[in-house]
Amino acid sequence: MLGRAADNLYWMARNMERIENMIRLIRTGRTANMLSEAGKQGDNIWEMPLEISGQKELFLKDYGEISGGRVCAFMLSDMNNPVSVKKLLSNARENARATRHFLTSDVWECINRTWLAVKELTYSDIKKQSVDDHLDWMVDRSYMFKGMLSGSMRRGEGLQFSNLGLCVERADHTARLLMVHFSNAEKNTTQMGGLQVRDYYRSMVILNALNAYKAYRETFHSSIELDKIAELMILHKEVPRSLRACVDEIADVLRALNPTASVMKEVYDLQYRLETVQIAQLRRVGLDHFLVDFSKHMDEISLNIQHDFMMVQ
Amino acid sequence: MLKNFFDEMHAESGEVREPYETYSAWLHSTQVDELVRCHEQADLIFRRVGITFNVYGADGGVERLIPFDIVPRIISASEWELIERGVIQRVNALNAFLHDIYHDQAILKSGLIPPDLILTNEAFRPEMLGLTLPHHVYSHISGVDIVRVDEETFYVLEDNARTPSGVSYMLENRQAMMRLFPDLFAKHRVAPVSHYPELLLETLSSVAPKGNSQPTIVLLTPGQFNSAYFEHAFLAQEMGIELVEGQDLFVDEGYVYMRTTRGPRRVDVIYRRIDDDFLDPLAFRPDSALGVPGLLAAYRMGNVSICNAVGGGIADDKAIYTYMPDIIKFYLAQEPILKNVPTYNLRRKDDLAYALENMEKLVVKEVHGSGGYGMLVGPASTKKQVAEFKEKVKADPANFIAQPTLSLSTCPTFVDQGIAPRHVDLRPFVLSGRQTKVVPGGLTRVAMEKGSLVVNSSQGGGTKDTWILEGANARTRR
Repeated sequence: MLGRAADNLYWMARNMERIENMIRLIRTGRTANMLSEAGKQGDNIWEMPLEISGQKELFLKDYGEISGGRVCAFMLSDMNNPVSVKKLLSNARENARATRHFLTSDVWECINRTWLAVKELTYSDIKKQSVDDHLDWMVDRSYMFKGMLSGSMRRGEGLQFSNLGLCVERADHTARLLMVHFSNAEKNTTQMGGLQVRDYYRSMVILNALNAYKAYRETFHSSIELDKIAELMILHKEVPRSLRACVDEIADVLRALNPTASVMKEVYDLQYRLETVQIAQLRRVGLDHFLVDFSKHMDEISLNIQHDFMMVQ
Repeated sequence: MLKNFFDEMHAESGEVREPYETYSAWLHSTQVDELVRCHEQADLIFRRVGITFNVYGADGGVERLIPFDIVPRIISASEWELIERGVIQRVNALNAFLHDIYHDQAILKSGLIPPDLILTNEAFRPEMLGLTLPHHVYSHISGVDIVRVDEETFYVLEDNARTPSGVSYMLENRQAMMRLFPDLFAKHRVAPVSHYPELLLETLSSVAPKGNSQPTIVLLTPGQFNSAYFEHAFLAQEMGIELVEGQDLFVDEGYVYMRTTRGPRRVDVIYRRIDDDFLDPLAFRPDSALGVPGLLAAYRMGNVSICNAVGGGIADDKAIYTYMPDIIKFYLAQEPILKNVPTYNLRRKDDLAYALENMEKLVVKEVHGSGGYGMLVGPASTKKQVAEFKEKVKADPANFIAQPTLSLSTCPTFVDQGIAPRHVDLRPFVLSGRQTKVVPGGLTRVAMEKGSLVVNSSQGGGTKDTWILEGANARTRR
């Protein structure tokens, strides 16, 4: 297939995955805000989406003070925010439109219909309808997109490049989320292990945002501890959004695409590291350090993928 | 504008014309509410599928829907038979003409057409001289615009031999109609059109360089902001070929390649949807970012086929149009089956004088204009507009032609007030490769405004599904 088409499919999927991630983050933020007074104390839960998306500065410039409503408006429907859900959806749709002859009509129409429904929506429209319903609906649309992708597309390069976009974006998001979370947590808690009430709720937030609360309970049968969250989301391959699971998936998809040796080596190195390392070791190096390093590797892999397959001169 | 127009559904006597008998009965028995519902549903279908049209102009264009009308345009088998023979004849003559112009120029030597009209024409490409194309075909895809003025008379308005668009609407309109009105299709024997992409693919394959029977074919688009992008993507998908932009192609040692995920891949046939001027910055417009440097050299070496051929624009030039009846007689030794609209060629003194005197009754068009831009519809214009246009014409008469305002036929159309007659034209799509073929159907464009004669979608025109009813012997003919 055309390199440019592969590039569009890859970014279509990354944009769609990023939308789901943002929605989950906002949804968890709203729940946490309602749940507990304790959760609200200290630093603001609503800073997280801004930090993870890297748009805090823009937000402060355009909106001033941080509040739930303002962050939601900014993250959901502000077209000036380059990573708002609406903007990402518009990008995803343009990517899809550029390659619509590769997509099944199911996949194309799914994205197009989602866009048509959201295109004119302002945040006050969303509020009128119920913000929570809107968020649930968006997550459903995301699942529908992925379901149609895997259920209707021919098992060929088109699907593979889309899948690659999904798992690369997922890995990137989990790493960013953990980075923000742990750097905050380590600032605030001197003693690891023993969690304060506030930290408990913050940790719930992260598990929910990564859709891993249930997995945590099933895996550890114990109370919520930061170390265990780190272990689960970095090393456990059976948790869909863990770094290990994402890297395994990237390796699988890439292998089918016959890449150059250098990309594959990069991925294998990362995979090997995640397979063999223990959480205590990561602790010693510093989680922060490890996560920054991981993100660098992912950027490198992403660049190499684009270089290998999608180079448009 | 008080004269009567020929109506496709109702004869002058008020009786329903034969092709519409069944449909008319159905329409009378159908509630308006039901039509409104179908109309809205059609809108929804087109939006979801993303059948949109980008309008040139402000901030890079906006996606719009072309108004789709739910009342079909119905043509009987015998009427179609005439149209079909007529357009095939025309396209064959056009291709013979183009081959001659770029080779022996017999028609110029015979004195039938003044040589300067060709040789100094912008659409004439000296680069094409002496280059012999597979099957001598230049216009592989032609969209011949036809209007009807009475029971017997069809006029050809234009031969679009460059990159005619609209065929995706012919196909999608049919899809939408079949979904909306399955019972109507049970009551009529409507000739199918959905095999068009198959025929197009066959046509493109048949003109591959050096008789290559397994050619790699691509569709070259200016990109997703082009007004017809939907159609480009649609046809690429239907034919299962790559949709490429100029940046995806490159030329190496006289061959054309595309950049794929597995490295360069040879390209044999390019179905291009960009104009000659933008094809190759080395040969034509150096500022074009849409094209492929070196493409023309590869083309001239016979290593790639370009459809429609470079330089074919000379055949659908509005000044050449006036010579079409002569062209048909000269190459095919046949009488034209379809008529030309009487046309005043304003480069001629007498014609110019007549046109200036009668401009308020005429339609005046720029020779190189298209899409309804740069034209004056006399009877629909103000005195001031007419006076201004006269000045434009006087400044450069050879750049204009004039035609009497045709009484385009009307067809019942669903509008805000209910069903009302609106003017229509018809564009069948003719494919030429090893053979010349037409799919039984075409794009019917309709002027949605009451009294308007401008059907172009860029000017707010809509489209209809076009039904060719199969005759008794249809099965054996197909």
